[in-house]
Amino acid sequence: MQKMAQKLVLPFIFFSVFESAFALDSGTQSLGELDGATDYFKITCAGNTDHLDFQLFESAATVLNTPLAKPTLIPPQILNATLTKLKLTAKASGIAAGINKDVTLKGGNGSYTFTLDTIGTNLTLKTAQTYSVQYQCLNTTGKVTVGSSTLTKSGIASISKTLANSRTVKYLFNCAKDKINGNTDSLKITVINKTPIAKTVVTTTVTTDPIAAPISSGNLAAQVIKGHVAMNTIGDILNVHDDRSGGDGYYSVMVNSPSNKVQSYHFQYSCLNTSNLEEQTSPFQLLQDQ
Amino acid sequence: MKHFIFLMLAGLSFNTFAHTQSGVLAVPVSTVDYYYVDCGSDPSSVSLYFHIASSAAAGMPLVSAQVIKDNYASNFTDPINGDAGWSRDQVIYGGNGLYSISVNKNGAGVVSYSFEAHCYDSSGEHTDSENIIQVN
Repeated sequence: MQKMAQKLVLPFIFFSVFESAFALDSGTQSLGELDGATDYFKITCAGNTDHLDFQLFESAATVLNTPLAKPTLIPPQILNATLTKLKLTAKASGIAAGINKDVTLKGGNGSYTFTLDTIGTNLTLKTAQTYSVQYQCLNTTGKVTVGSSTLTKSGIASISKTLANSRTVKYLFNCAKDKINGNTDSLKITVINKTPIAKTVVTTTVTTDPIAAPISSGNLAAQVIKGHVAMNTIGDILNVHDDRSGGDGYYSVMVNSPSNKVQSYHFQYSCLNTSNLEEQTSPFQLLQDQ
Repeated sequence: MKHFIFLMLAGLSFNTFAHTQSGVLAVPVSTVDYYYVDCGSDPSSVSLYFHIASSAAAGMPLVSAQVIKDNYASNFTDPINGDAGWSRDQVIYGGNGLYSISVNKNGAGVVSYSFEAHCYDSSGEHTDSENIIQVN
């Protein structure tokens, strides 16, 4: 059937995951409906190859046994600040981790309501955000007037607070006439988002790589022959070792279906030395594609 | 005289080389019995006829065989264990020489089998080849 792909799988990925390296090379094929259909390959091993590891996978599912990491920037966690007094409102949105933003409302003397929420934050990051608030009541020339709050004193950053995703918190601030600087014109609040910036900028993404789960249904079988050694698999890893003629040379591989099932499949193989380290593994040669 | 000797040998081969090979596959699914069928001792051989049957009980793994010659390979499976039927049969026109036969199964368990292999010439006549050599 039609050859779908033949590719090299980066060996270092597997070396980093498995001490015993496996699957330097791989291929994806489809077995057709011909009665007795058999795909036939040759694999060449060189160097100091002791044996060939071979594994067959059914490719019908998109389940991956080796998800590949795909770089993706993680959206930041954010806070939104809203300051209200009667019908007056001022907002500062999208205050990301490590960012300071001011929100100022010209409401004169009196009580202000300050609200923090996390609408629009990255919900995949579960850690509560940490913030601090600093405020000042100001007159029309920007001079400090009298202010009070249970959160902190005027002009002094509050102790650090936390706010979990999807939660909202409210604080009250009062501004009054100052003996020296006169009436309050506005309340200025600085929000300091102290949340650590996410260090992980890579998420693991399931890709369309054809690697799938090993089969055990018996719908497909593969035979590997080297010299006088012949082995069969329906999904388990084969370790084909020919102690008469050695590990170098040609390995014949056949894939077929005892039920004549039309089936795509994937296989991985690796030429390994006696220490299970990679030797010279070449791309497979397709001799027959049925 | 030359033709007479040939006909005598040919007649002898008809009676002697109706080749059936039996075997038993051990428990592991990885087990493969591997044979060569020699269609090379008679230069007139151009093809191999093959089929296989399993005598395993119902529910046991199915037995298959692969016939390999040069860059050609074909699979034969007996779809029903233990009955009188065989797998499909096929004449493989792989020319003169050694044909490789591997016998496998699609699951773990002991299964027994037998196969028939006959070498033919270009006119469809049985040749005096088909010596079966068990490799493993």
